[in-house]
Amino acid sequence: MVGNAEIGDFATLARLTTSLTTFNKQPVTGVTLGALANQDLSWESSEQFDIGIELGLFNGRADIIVDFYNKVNSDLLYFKRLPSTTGFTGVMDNIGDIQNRGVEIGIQTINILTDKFRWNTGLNFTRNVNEVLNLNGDIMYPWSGRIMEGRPLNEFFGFKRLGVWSLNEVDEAATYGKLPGDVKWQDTNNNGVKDLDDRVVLGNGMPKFEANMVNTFTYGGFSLLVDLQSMYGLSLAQTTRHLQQNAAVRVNSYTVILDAWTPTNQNTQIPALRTPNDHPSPSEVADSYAIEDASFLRVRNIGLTYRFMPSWLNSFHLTNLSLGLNVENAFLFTKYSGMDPEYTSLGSQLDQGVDIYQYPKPRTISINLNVNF
Amino acid sequence: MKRLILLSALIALCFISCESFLEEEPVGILTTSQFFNTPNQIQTAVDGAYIGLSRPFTSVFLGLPISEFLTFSALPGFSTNPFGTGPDESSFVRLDPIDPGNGYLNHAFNTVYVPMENINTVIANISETKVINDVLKNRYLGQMFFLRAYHYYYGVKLFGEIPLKTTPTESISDVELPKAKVEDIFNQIVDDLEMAEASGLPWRDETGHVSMGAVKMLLAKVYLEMAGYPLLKGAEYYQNAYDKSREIIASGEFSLFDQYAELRNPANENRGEHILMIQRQSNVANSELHNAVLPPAITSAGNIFNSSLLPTLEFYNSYMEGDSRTEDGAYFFEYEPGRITTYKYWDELAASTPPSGANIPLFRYADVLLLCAEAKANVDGGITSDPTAVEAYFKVRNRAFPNETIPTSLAVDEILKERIWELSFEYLLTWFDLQRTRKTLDVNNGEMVNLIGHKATTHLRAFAESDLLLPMPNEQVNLNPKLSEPAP
Repeated sequence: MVGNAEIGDFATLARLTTSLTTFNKQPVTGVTLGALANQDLSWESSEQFDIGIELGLFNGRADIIVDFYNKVNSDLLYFKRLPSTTGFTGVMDNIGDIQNRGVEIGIQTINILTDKFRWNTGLNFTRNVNEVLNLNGDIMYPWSGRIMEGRPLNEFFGFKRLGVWSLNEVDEAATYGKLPGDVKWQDTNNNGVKDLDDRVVLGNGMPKFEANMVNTFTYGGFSLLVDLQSMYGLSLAQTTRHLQQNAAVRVNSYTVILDAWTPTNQNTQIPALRTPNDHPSPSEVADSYAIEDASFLRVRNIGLTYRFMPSWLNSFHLTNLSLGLNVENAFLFTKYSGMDPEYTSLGSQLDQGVDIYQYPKPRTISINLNVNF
Repeated sequence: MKRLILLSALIALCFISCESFLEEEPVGILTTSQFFNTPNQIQTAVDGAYIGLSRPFTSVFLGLPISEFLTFSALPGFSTNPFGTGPDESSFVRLDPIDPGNGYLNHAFNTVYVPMENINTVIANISETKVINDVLKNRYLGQMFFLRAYHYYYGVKLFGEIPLKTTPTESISDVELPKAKVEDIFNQIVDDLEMAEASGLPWRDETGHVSMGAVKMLLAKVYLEMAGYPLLKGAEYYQNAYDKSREIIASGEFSLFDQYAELRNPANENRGEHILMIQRQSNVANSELHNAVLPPAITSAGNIFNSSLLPTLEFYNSYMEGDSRTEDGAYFFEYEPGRITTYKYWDELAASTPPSGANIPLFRYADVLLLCAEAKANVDGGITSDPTAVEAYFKVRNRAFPNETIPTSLAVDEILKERIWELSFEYLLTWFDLQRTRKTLDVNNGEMVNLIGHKATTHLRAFAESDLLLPMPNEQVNLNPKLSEPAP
């Protein structure tokens, strides 16, 4: 039994909400239903199997730790969405079982060790694969996603944007009620209408692997630290850009909108700009255009320190003196168009991978002077 | 500028996921099992069940004039939204085939069922109670039966077949309800209203609670609906509608205001011509309608999202020469030469001290009078000289044209036209008329024409039968696949 710290109080009880309303201009208290009871709610439990290998090689010059794990969370607690005919948007429920399998590898090496020069490397690699084992026969659709038995969690699911209907496709566009310049979505089931069955998997909010590497070089009193961080194979819903690409009158927009469809710019993902009453049909937020590859490599930290020689310090009655320059978040290499591909989640547990007005990480440059008497 | 970016972002956001962003976790720990034990608790639950009435009029985001009321009101094609807050609204203005992903569909669907759950819970919990006397209990139940009928009425009119549920949700298994047939939904509505009729409610209730007048008026409206499309129950139900509306007229409790401005007078709220209003108050439950109908700010960037419901000039001009309703300060206002805004929701007080606390009119007596005339004209085969019917019609007509004399007979089309002019831009009244009669006003010549095949001036194409009902929202079909199947 492990429980789940993200569950609010009183989740098994039917709750009421008190609000202030009015009759004939007098403030009046009104009570409405707040949450549905789920008396069958039970503890979430997990079973974990771990196996690890620890190796020391080359006279302690290399330490390798490899951990394999297989964790199954049963009766996972989750806010299960319900049809609104119940009167509620959803309820906390034990929705099913989820398996996480993976490997964690840690390698510490001393690559070069001489009297004056030393090069250390620390490498961490993690790969996690998750799968929904059982969802009590259900398929759940969290915002922009799908949770389904036999599939990984955090999957993006939605319409595939093929581009924009061109002038050569007037007739075909018309069968979907569209005009040249409107977004063209893939008709996956080929039935001539845009419907829910046209949706496809668009990516996954969890990375295929994460790797971090720290290199430390020491030469005499100088030491240099380079800290690299990377995630590979994850997608993000670029919601910020979607919002900022709004063609509504009198609102600001990202400049990408300048690439909107025109008769001379037909090969684009961005529909024609129309006046409000002649507007493209509703946008699909989490369509394939909004889901981007967010793999990245970040130079998280570069630190250069010079430590003055003790023999020299003695004449000043100092025990330690060092001077350093540190650059945090020095470089970021990514194809992702948002501010920062290292996301935080939109909502709770299973809504990972939605980038909405993510605050960018600042690049911090600091100079350190460390003196000990 | 930053503020504008944020604003646009917030607005755009709301088309995506208002629902989840606006969800609030209750912090209290009142639980249903401990409730309904005292007269006061029962009263607060009854009053709470009214909160759902305001959903279609409540901004779906931060007080901006984007609501079901403003959006769906564009369906008949008599109004426009010049600044277009987004594609979800514009689809209704242009009469695009409405995409099942359109955020308003889910909002409207929830507007039926979220209040319904409160209503069903109150009904289930107070039916057996002993802590209040039977007179009070029956009055409470009467109000709840009315509210249940009201929400199903809007649900069935907007979507057609929808699930029918009259008991509270007790378990989270078996929540995938099938749709019910339109006729079954209407029968449920009639059953509820008949129970409400027998509940001993007073004819009028100046506190703003449901009165016998509101109950009988909805019943009359529902009979008229059932007589027309899609059920086409014909003469028997026209007669029912006529009889029911005559009861309201004969009660002598209701009358038209002499002046149109009196409809907006705060002193007249819940009185006179007003039969049912959504109760608003500027501090605890304000109204956004006043803002929404402000004329567009042509030069200032301030009120960019106003005038979400701007009458077209063609519609305004369809009113006949000399119609008092078109005078400035009646139903319309000419804010610039040749530019018209609707004035029904103008709140004088809010103009100086916002926000608006004006009640939102839902049912008014003019509607009863016109439906009485229409029902009788249909009973009589399309034209009537019945004095009650003609007088009812003429009371409304005469207020608009004080110099006209009472006609000797009346044709259905004349009454339908009068309804469109009299009840314009009141929540879905015109759209529901168009649906049940399959007729609309051709604003170019002032004649009633067949709806199907007619292209309104704001629309991109002519009405088709498929436009009469909104599609089931994607979000709900995802959660309940039975919604994609017709009623069994």
